[in-house]
Amino acid sequence: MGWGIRGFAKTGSGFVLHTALKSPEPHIQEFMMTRFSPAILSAQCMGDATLINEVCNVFLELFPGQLNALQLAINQEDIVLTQKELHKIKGTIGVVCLPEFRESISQLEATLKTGKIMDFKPQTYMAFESLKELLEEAKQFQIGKKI
Amino acid sequence: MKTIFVVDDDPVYQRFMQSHLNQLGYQVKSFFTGEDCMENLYQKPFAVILDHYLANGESGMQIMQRIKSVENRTPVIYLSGQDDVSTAVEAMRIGAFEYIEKNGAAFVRLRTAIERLEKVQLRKGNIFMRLFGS
Repeated sequence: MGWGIRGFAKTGSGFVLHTALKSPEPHIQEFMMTRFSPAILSAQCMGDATLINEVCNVFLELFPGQLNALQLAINQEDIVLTQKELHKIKGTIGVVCLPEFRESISQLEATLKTGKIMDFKPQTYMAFESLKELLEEAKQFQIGKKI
Repeated sequence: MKTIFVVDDDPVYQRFMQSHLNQLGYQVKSFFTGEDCMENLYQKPFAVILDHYLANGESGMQIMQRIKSVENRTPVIYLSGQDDVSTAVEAMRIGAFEYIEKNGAAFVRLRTAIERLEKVQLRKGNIFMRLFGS
């Protein structure tokens, strides 16, 4: 099983919440896949509602800029720059996402660091798309929708 | 109000840090480069929180060495995005007060480290008072 499939693919038993939610139907599992973790955010903020709100707002305000920088690096096919952007993103998302998701970004970053990567653009773009989904989930969380 | 310096080239993490530290009652001064931090070290911050991986090719380790050579008593809390034992060992060897990985428990560990730092400083203050009086 390749890295991309384990980390980001939308098929199979790829992502962590598949097992956590124990849904028997694969298509339902896909729908319920999530990256954002209110529990991690809450733990990081010691359950303080004001701080959770503030940190989430900072994330929503500044994370799109990091995503734009990543997209730019991917489009330029600049492996070094992409790795650097992913490194920053890895730090940022650690505050709000599931550890397994952060780990998959970390693995991609490590792969890029070695320079030995086949299909640079598809793999990094898949990561980019899943990071966009994380942002969407954070938005939903902040406006009080159940995710 | 005590001031903590945060040195990180990631503006998002800087802001996260600022929110947490303000809530704990500290004033925060953020710097994107180690050089900027060094220039302001005369302000004697309560602690410096330093990221391993800085912009302009700067290494957090080198900056920590420079901080320690100028102001050895300034506690440095070292942050890293890498789960790497050798980096942690090296940071502690140079004189980091604590090594924290930027993961899901980073801010919990940061709070614990700062509480511990407060206790250490208090103990040092008490010893000083006992030795030299008020």
